[in-house]
Amino acid sequence: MAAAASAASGKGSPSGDKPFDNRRGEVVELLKLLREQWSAKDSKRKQDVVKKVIAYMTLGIDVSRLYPEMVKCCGNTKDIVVKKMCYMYLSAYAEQNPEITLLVVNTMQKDCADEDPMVRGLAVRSLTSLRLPSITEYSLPIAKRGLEDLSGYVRKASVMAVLKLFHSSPEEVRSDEMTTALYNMVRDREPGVVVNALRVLDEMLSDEGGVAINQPMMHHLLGRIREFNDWDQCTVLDLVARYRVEGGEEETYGLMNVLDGALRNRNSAVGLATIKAFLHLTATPAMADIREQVYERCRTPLLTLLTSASPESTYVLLAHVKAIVERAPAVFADEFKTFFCALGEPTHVQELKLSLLALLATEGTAAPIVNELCEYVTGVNEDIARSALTAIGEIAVRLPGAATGVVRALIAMLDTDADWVCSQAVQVMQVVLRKYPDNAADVLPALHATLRTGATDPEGRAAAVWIIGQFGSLIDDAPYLLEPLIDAVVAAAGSDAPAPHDDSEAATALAEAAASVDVRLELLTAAVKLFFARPPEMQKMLARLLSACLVEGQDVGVRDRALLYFRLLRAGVAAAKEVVCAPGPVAVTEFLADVSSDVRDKIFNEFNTLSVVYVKPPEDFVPASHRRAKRAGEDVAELSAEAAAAAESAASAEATEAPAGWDAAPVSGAGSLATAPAPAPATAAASAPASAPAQAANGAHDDDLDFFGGAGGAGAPPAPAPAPAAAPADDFGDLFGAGPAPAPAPAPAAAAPEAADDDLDFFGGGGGGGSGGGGGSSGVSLDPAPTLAPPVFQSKWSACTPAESFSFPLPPHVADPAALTATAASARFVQLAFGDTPTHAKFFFFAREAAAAPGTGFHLVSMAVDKSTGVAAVDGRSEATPAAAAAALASLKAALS
Amino acid sequence: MISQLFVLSPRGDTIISREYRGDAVKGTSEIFFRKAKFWKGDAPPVFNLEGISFVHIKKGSLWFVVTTKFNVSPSMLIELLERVTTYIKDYCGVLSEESIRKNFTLIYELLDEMIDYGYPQLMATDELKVHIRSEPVVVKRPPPRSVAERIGFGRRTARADATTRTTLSSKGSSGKNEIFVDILERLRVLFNAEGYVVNSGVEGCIQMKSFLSGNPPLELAVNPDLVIGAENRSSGGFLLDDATFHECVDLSNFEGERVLGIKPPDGEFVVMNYRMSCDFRAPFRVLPHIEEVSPYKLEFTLKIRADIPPKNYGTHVIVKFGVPRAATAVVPTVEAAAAPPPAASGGIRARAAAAAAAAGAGSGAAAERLQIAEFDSKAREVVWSIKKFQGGREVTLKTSITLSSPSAGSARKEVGPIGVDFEIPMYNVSGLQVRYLRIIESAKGYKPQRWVRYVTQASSYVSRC
Repeated sequence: MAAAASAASGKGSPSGDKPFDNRRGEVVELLKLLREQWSAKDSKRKQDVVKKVIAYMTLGIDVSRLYPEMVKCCGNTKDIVVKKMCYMYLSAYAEQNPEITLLVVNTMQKDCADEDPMVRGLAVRSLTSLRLPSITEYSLPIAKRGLEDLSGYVRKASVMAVLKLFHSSPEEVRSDEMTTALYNMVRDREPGVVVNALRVLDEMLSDEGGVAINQPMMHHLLGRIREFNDWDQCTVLDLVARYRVEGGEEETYGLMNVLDGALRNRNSAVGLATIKAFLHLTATPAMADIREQVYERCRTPLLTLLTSASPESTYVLLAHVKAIVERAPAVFADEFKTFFCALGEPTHVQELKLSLLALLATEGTAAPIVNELCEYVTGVNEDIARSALTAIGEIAVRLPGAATGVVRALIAMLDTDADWVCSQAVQVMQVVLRKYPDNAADVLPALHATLRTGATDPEGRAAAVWIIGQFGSLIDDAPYLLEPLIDAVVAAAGSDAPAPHDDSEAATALAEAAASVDVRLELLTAAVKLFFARPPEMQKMLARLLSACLVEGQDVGVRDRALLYFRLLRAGVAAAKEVVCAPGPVAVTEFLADVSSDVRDKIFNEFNTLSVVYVKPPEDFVPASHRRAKRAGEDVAELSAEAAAAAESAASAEATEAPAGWDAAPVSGAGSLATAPAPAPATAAASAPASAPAQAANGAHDDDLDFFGGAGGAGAPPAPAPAPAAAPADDFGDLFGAGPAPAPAPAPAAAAPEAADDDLDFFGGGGGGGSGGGGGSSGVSLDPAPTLAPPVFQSKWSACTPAESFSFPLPPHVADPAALTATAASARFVQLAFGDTPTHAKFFFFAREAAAAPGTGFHLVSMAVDKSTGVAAVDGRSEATPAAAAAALASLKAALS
Repeated sequence: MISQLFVLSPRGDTIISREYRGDAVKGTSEIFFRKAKFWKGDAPPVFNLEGISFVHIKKGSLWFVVTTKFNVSPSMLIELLERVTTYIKDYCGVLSEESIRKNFTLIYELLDEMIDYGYPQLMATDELKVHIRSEPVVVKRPPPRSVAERIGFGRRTARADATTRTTLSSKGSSGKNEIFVDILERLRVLFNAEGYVVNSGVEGCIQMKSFLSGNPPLELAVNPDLVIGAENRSSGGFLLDDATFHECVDLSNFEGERVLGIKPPDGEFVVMNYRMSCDFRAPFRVLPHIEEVSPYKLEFTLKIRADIPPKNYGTHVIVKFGVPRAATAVVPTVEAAAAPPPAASGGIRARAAAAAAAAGAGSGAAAERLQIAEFDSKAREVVWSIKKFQGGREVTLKTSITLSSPSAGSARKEVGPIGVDFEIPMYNVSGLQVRYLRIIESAKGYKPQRWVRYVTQASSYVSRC
C-alpha cells in the first residue's frame, strides 16, 4: 500500500509551483493521523482529520498521496459528513488513481442500495463524478436503476449521472433506449427531474441541435411553469426561445400570455430569459408589429430589474438594454435619465451607461444629455472623461440639430487644465468638423490656442494636425502651427544625434509626437493640403518633411505615403491637388459602426448569453466542444458572419490606411471598395454593394435562409475583375499601370500603400489581367462570373469529395486580403467569404466549370493563411472531374504565387 | 454550464474551490485574480480569458467566482452567485472570510446540493436544510464598517439581521419564533446647481427574514389604494411604477385586496421589489454656492437642510465633493449653528468643530453635534460627516479653496458634484405601508414576534454645483 501511495504522489502534482516544504511535512502528518483513525469508529476526531485534508486541498496543496487512506476511510464510515468529504476528495484525485478507485466503487454500489434516499442520491452523484471511463460498466447500470427510483431526489441525481457518464464514455451511454428513457422523464412528476432530463438531452444531443421540442412537450412544460423554481424556469424559457411554433399566431399569443407572468419575477435571469423567448416568438416577418410591442413590454420590467439589481447584475442588464436600444432606440428614449451615472458606480457600468446615452439621445433630449455628459468630463476619472467626450461626439454626428450645442460644449471644455480632456476634446472636434465642415469658421478662433499648445498626446496631436491641414485656409498662421512639429520630425529622422538640445517639456512632447506614426501620417497629408492653400509659406517646409519621411528606416507606411505625394507632386501640382483635395463631399455622411450590422444581428440572436456582454458571436470565444449545433432554421448560418467580418476588416483597413485626402468617400461603402476596387466617385458601383449589408440585416431578422441569395444578388459579386463593369477596372489598371499619372479619381484605399512602392507594375498587371477576361486562367475553362449562395456553398462543401490539399508560401504582394481576392479573381475564383483572426485569415473561394450544367461543376476552395509565416493552406473540393479540379486548383495556385 | 466555483479572499487566497465538470484548466483562480485585481478601472463582472468565461460578484471584499466554457446566460450565473452568498450568510450567520473558513465543510455541503455537474439543483432553503449535516460555527459579527467602507460600496442594506442566528439553528427547540420585515427604500436624486430636482427615483423592497417554526404561510397587506403601473392609474391612489415579486409570493389576492400570500422560505429573502419615479419630497435639500473671491481663491458655501419631520433624523450622513485639480490648499470649516448664527463668526478649524459647535449653539441641538469635515488630498475631495441630523434643521459648511494658478473661472466648474450618503430610520418616502402581517397558523399559543421596520437610504444622492 505504501508503494501505491508513493506512486500516487509521484504522479502529477497540480500545484507543484509552490514551495511546500513545511506543508509536505504536514501532509505526512495527516497520513499518519489517517492511518491511526481508519480502523477507529466514527468520531469527532476522524471528522477533523478528514476536514483537514479537504482544507489542504482547497488551499491547492497536493494531497494526492493520501488517496489510499481516504479510500479506506470512505469504506468504513457511516458518518455522512465524512462520507461527503471523502467523496469530494476522491472525485478530485480519481483520475490519477484508476486502480485503487475500483475499491471504492464497491462501497458506493452498496450505498446506492441504501434505504435512505439521501445516501442513495449522494452515492449516485459521487460515483459518476469520478470521471473514469474504466468504471462506466459498473456505474451505468446503477444510474439506469436510479432513473426509476422512488425518490425524486435520487432520480434527479441519476439523470445528471447519465450526462456525466456520457461525457466520459459517450458510445456506451448514448443509445436510442437511453434517449427514449430521458424523453419519458420529461413527464416526471418532480419538476427538478423534468428539467434535468431536458438539460441532459440537450447536451447529449448537442451535435444534432440539442433536445427536440414538439408542441405537446412545450405545452406540457409551460402548463407546469409555476412548479419550476427560477433556475428551472430559465431552462424551460431557453427552450421556448428555440421552439418553432406550429400552431400559427394563435399559439404564439397563447405562449406569450403564459409567459407574461414571468416578467414580474425579481430574478434578472428569468426576466431576460422571458424577453428572449418573446423576441424569438415574434421573430417572423409577419410578427414585426408585435415585436415592436414586445420591446415596449420589456421596458418596464427591465427598468425595475435595473433599479433593484446589484452592480454586477446591472452591468449585464445594461448590456442587454443596449442590444435592444441598438434595434429600437425609441423604446428607452424617454427613460434616458435612468442611465445617468450614479454615485460610486463601478467604471464598467459607467462606460456602458455613457454609450447608452449616446445611442438614446434624440433631437429633443440631446441638450440635457450633453449637459449631463459634460459633468462627467470634469470628473476625477480620466477614462470616464474621455468616454463622455466620445459620447458627446457621437451625439453630434448622429443628430445635426444637436451639433451646435455640442460644439459650444466642447469649446467650453478646452480651457480645462486636464491634458486628457483637451486632447480628447480636439479629437471629438475633428470628428464633428468632418461631419459639419461649415461650422469650422465659427469654431477655429476658439480652437486656436489649443491647436498650438494643447492636445499633447499623439492622438490629440494627430487630430489637431488634421484640423489645421483641412481648414488651413481659415487659420492665419496655420503653417507656423505645423512648423515645430515638422522640425521635430526632421530632427528625429535627420540623424542619430540625440534629440534637440533644449529638453523643455514642450520639446519632449513634440519629440514624442513626432515618434508616432499616426502623427507623421497625418502631418504629411496636412502639409500637402496646406501647401496647395499656402504655397509660398509651405514649400520649403513640405520639402523638408517629405525628404525626412523618405529616408531609410522610416516607417513603411509613412514612407509610402510620402512617396505617393512626392510622385503626385512631381507629375504636376495641379493634378496632385485634384487628387489630394478631391472634389466631392468633404463631409462624412456616415461613420462605420464598430461592429457590422450582420454581426450585430447574430449577437442579438444570442440574447441573454455571454455573447451580448462581450459583443462577440459565440464562435469567437466558445470552444467548439462546448457549442450546440443549430437546428435548421433556428439561426442564421455561420458564413454570414464571416462575410460580415470580411467587410469589417476591409473597412478597418481602409480606415487606418486611407490617405486623409479621401476621407470624403462614403465610409459605409468601404468594405465593398476594398474587395471590388471601383474608384470612389463611381457612386453607382459603390452604393450598390453598400446596400447589401442593410439588406442582409433585414433578412437576418427572420432567420430566413433566402436572404443569402438576396444579398448575393444585390451586392456586386465580391470578385473585382470579371464581374463589375469593365470601365472602373480599366481606370484602375491605368492609374497604376501608367505610373503616377494625373488620376481622374482617388485610387482605392487598400491598394495605395503597395502602389506607392517602386515596383508598380505587378499590380497594374494583375488588375489588367483580370479585366482582360482571365488571361491568367489559360488551360482552364472556368465560368467568368459564377454565382453561388453561401448556404448552397455549405451544402455543396459537405457533399463534395475532397479534391486536393496543399500549402504554399504566399508572395508578399498578395498578403493583403484585398490583393489576394483580386488575384484569385483573376484566376476566376470568386471570394465568397473572408474571416479574420489574430493568427489566421481564412478565405472561401469558388469557381465553376463553364461547360458544366448551370448550378453544377463547382470548385470549392477553403484557404487559411497563417499571418506569421505567410503560408497558405488550401483545401479544395470539387463537383467536377478530378482532372478538371486539379487543373483549376493549379491555376489558382499559379495566379497566387 | 458552470465548470468551477471558487471564493477568493481579498489577497487572492482560495478559501473555497469546487470543481464541477473537470473541463477547465488548473490554476484558474490565480489567472482570474491576477486579471481582475489589475484591471484598469473596475474589473467587469463578466470577462473571457483564453476561452474561459469568468463571472464574479464581490461581497464585502470577497470574490465569488464561477467559470464556464459555454455561452450561457450571464445573469443566471450572477443570480446563482448571489443566491450562494445569501445561503452562506443564512447558514453561517455572517458572510465574512473568517466564517467561510470556519464553516467550509458546511459550505461544501451546500455547494454540493445546490449545483450538480454545473447545473443548479436544490435551490430552496427548506429542501436544502435536510441535506446539510455540518454544524455551523458562528463567528462574531465584524465590527461596524468603517466610514470608507460604507461609501463607494455599491449596495449596502440595513438588513433585518438584528441577529446572526443561522437558519439551521431554528431546527432546534431553543429558537424563538420571530419574523423580521424591513421596508427599505433607496433614493436616487440629482439636483442641479440651483437646488431643483433634475432626476429622481425610489427603489424599494420589502425584505423578510423568517425564523418561524413550521414555516406557516403568511399574509402581508399593503396600502389598499396601491396602484402599479402608470397606465393603470384611474382614480388617484398611491402609485408605483412597477413591482416584481419573489417566487414564493402568491398574487391571487393582490389585485383585489392588495394582500400578498407568502410561503416564506427559511432565512432572508426579498418579497417584493418596487420602483417609483413620480415626485416625492427629497429628505435633504442641498444648496451650494460658489464665490470667486479672487483669481486664486474660491469660497464654497454648502447648506444642507433636513426636509423631514422633526421627530425623524438622518444618521451617518456623509457629504463628499471634489475640488479642482489646481487646488493647493483646501480648508473646510463647519459653521457653528444653523439657526440664526450667533457671533461665532468665521468658524473654527474643522477638526475642532465638534466641540466648538456644541459650545456655540449652546442649546445642545443634536444635529450640529459631532460634525467633522476633512480634506482628503489623495482623493481630492472634502468629506463632511454628520452623525445625527435631526429633521427640520440646517447645517452649513464653508470651504475655502486656494488655487495654484489664477484660474478661478474655469476651476469652479471642477467643484463638485456633491454626493450625500445617509440613512433615515423609521421613515420612507414612497408612503408604502404594511397594513398587517398575519401568520396563518391554527395552533393555539403560537405567538410569534413580528418586527416591522422602515428605512430610507441614499443610493445616489447628488447635487451639481
